Amino acid sequence: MTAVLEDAVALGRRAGVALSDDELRRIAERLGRVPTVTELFAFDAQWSEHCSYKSSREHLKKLPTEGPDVLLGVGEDAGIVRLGEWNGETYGIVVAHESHNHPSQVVPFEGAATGIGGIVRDVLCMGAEVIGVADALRFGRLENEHCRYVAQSVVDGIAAYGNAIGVPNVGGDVFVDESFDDNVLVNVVALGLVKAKDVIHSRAPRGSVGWDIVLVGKATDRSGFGGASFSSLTLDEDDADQNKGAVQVPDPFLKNVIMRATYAVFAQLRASNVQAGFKDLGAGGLAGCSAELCAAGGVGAEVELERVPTAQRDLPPEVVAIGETQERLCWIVPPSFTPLLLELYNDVYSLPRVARGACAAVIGKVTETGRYVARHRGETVMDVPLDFLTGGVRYHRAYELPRVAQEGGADRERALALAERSAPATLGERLRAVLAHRDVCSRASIYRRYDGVVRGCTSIPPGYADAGVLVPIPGAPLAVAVGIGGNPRYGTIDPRGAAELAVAEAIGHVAAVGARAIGLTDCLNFGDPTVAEHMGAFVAAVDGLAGAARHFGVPFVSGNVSLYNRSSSGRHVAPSPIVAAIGRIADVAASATMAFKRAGSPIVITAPVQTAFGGSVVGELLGLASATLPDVRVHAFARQCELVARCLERGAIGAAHLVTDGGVLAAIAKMAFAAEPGLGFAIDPAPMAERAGGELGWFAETPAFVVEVFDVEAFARLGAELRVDSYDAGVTIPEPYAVLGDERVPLEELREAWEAPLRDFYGAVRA
Amino acid sequence: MSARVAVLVFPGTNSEDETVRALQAAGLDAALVHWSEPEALARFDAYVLPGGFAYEDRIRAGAVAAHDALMDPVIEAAEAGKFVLGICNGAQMLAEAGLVPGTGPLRRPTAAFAPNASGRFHSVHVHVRLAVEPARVPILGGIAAGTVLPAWASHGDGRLAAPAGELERMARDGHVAFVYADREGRRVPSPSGSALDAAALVNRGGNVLAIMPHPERDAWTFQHLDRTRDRASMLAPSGGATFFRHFARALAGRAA
Amino acid sequence: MTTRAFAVALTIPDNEAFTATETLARLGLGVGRTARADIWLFDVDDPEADALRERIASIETIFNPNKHRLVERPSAAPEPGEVWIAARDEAPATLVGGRAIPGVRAIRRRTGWHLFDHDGRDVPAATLERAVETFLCNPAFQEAIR
Repeated sequence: MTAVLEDAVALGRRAGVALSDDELRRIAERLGRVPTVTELFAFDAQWSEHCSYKSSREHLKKLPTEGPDVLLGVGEDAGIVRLGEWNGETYGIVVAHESHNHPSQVVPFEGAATGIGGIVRDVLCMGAEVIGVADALRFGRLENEHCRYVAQSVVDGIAAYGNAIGVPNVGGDVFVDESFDDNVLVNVVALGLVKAKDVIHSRAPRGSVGWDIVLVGKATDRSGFGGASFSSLTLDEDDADQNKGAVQVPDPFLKNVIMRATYAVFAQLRASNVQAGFKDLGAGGLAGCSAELCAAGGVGAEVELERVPTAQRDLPPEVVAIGETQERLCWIVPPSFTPLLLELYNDVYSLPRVARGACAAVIGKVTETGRYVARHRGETVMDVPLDFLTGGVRYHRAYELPRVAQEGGADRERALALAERSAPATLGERLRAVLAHRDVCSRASIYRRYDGVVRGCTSIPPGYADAGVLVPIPGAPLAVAVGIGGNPRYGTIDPRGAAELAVAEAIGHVAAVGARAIGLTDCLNFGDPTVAEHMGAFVAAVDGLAGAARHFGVPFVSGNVSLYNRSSSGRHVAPSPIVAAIGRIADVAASATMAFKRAGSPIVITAPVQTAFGGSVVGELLGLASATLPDVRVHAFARQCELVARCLERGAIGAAHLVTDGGVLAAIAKMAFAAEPGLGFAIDPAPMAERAGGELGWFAETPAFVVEVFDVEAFARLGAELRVDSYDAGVTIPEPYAVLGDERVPLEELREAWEAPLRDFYGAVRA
Repeated sequence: MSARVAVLVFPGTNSEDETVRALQAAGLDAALVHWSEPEALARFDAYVLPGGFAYEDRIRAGAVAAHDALMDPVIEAAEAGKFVLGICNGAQMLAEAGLVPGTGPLRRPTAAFAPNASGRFHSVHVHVRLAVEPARVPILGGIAAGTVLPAWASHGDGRLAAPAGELERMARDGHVAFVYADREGRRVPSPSGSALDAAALVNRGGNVLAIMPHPERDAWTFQHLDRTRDRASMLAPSGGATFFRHFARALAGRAA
Repeated sequence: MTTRAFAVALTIPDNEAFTATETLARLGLGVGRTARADIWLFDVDDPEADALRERIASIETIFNPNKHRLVERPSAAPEPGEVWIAARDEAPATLVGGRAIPGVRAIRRRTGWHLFDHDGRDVPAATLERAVETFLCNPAFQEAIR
């Protein structure tokens, strides 16, 4: 037997798989023989970090995943939260969140585009109509030519794909940090709408033994071979060409048609009251998808690989089985339904005409053996127990929790005073510098590339408020908001604190448009889990997410882990826990854009500013090295979120904006930039000057809201009910100026400072 | 009985559903007609070509669709004087098919909606203003002179381009039906660099209209982003809905 | 100074070429196959001309080895059976993806269409002309270079 184990190791090394020697031995031991090449690649994909979560699973269990609004929790390709009732039906919002980091670094356009492609499929396969996408981008320094090229191409890829399939991009964020110079982060979120009774699961239904396994979509080719394990390795310059070959080719045109055909299939299934299993192909290709479908259903599968439509002749079986050609989905349906399924895809929606070789084809059957058996030209190339293939391995990785320097209050104040004295500036000068900072400045050049209003359901597109708002059910006032949080400047300092702040930020963003958060998703982007320090950052972040979510009472319903975001030079990304919050608005009439609406409105802050400048924009500009992040006082902040929602419902406020990068004054400025021409603001610097930190307090990044009050009395009453103490900041004025005490700055000057840095994101017109 | 309007769906079309909703809000009996059923097109009173990327905009935006079998009944209907409306990708198809400005032979375009001057797709909110006498556009029955409408310009190929002589002719003969404008109706440069700041073209007979920006994307109160966003009527049609109301009136006028 | 011409073609299936063939066939033009290429014309200073190919090959916005083939053309003109479509009134660019290439004074882009009949031979000139008139070129903003 030892010979068999060592032969397995030798085979694995020759084939260049990412499986460790130990994993190879384990496979050979369970199979009782050396695995076939096809089996080898199947395990390579299924046991990769990306598919199996082997390093992360034990920690992810800490995340709270249950709640009264959870219709479907973690475990399938997407989670589902309850949107509400309409016309006697319960509607759910399907949400999925994924990363496509390594591919986007290597071949940015295709990598980012296929990221959107994949996340859309995750939502589609739950039986949902895809209604929106959002993207969280972390770029390297844009002064660097290659980083800029990557950033431009990533945005181009996301735009090209989302715009073509006709799904609006309704939110996201962009951060720039040198830790992303060699490892860009591209996280994508997709939303779907489904009636609770119409959810289709990613598993073979009960009683499905003997049912057909039907593959739909693009003809399988060589592209994308090696994707899952590729994402689980660090990026090495020398492998550049091989890395490029592993990137999949997007086809949003085909996807557009597949989506519409699939909606027609949904309608037929529902009309005929037929159960089905449905899952999208991603990492691990056909074998991965069909194996997971069957494993989840407790059944087995028999697949004939030569029945798989291919674009190239004589593809070896491992490429057919494991390759990650894009735009493919897998159905499990009763044989009585199969002819209709094939007709819809192949004839009515003419997939073969839309893309050569694209079609729906029966490739196998569900069995009761609990094994995955694949044959190629009569030869059995795979025969493995399903639970062993998909159950994967679990590791406990050693970790060292990050040590975060503790600074005393007095020390902080001293450092702050020193920093302020070393670079004296008027409030207006500081505000101008803050607005021009890479993490504050306008991102219009980016989000204007995205179609945010296709499908006609968008109430607030990107750029107009903290979160995008959709009205997904025609005729119903129900609305859904999606907001994103996750700041790399904080992650570098304190992963746990950054994770808490990410949760607060995401929830705060949806609250700012009047929504109440009902679910969270997360993508955890970290370095090398075999390095104790990086693993420790991951563990600390998960602890932060878990604690914050538990205290906010909002569960995680979906998520993703991306490890090994590190290049061979040793540089690893800033610990980046990125969170998306889904919020529900009972009546879209209660939501508002962040723009100031009228003159004479009091401008108010919903919490006292903290003198914590760790990771802050103004701190960076002053060269202040503080490790004290702002504190998320969860319960107080949650009450502020509720206050904003109630005030918007009652019309007590006209606008709200979450305080984030650049602090309160930057938030106020942005609310003025968004307003109709002729509106400005005046603040009284004095009260802030009396607090510790002096005028710098105007730039402290405390979790809080800036609101424009319409009805002072109603606002005060609602504030008292929720025990939220608010602080006057100033008032809106009917002239285009920022009046900062004695300083009077034309708003246009500030707007120019804010718009200029990324205005030329694309540089000169491309040849 | 409401006029029957077909909204054509080519492979790659993506704005069909909201276009149908906007037409229905105006009281029209609008239905999708899919590329697999061109025979179904015969039974309609008017045709709408919606936005998207039909055939992935291969070769040129709207070019392949203009030659598609599904376009034949549309061309026939346009020649027979029926109303044909093209929005964004639909406008590009009408230009490629030679139906607008309609000054040359069929399928021999004399004007085009070419790539934006920036070379890139953009999605921005705009206004458009009627730039011709109401009588010039019978397809928008009862529309008032100088009407200003909100819309979204979401396209990569929105720049009206034509040889200088043709542009002069189009301007002189009232083929530029709408121009980009500000909220008050003052003409503004188009985001795409469109010649004459043209947002829409109409043919000689006034029965074929090709508009690049999407009025259906700012046709309900909940879609408005300015002071016209009235809490009391969020789910009501408004703003760009006017465009479709006039289209419906034109059809009602025909039926009478 | 000299003008160097490069053609970048897809090595993976070219859907655009496929659709062009289908449409031209529907127009009754006897086209069996179409080959499409992105044509790049560089006006380059003589000393830098020979280094041009290698420099271009390293620019990802022009050439990706995993899906493209890069061929230098013998002249800045279409080959027999091929037509180049250009934007009318084109202002030549000087940068590619925001980057300057040493010695390059102007960059012009064309789309090259090479049509073959059902026997794999170049189509007759008249067919190429018809293809240009009826489909490949929109004279409102494009011109054909033969």
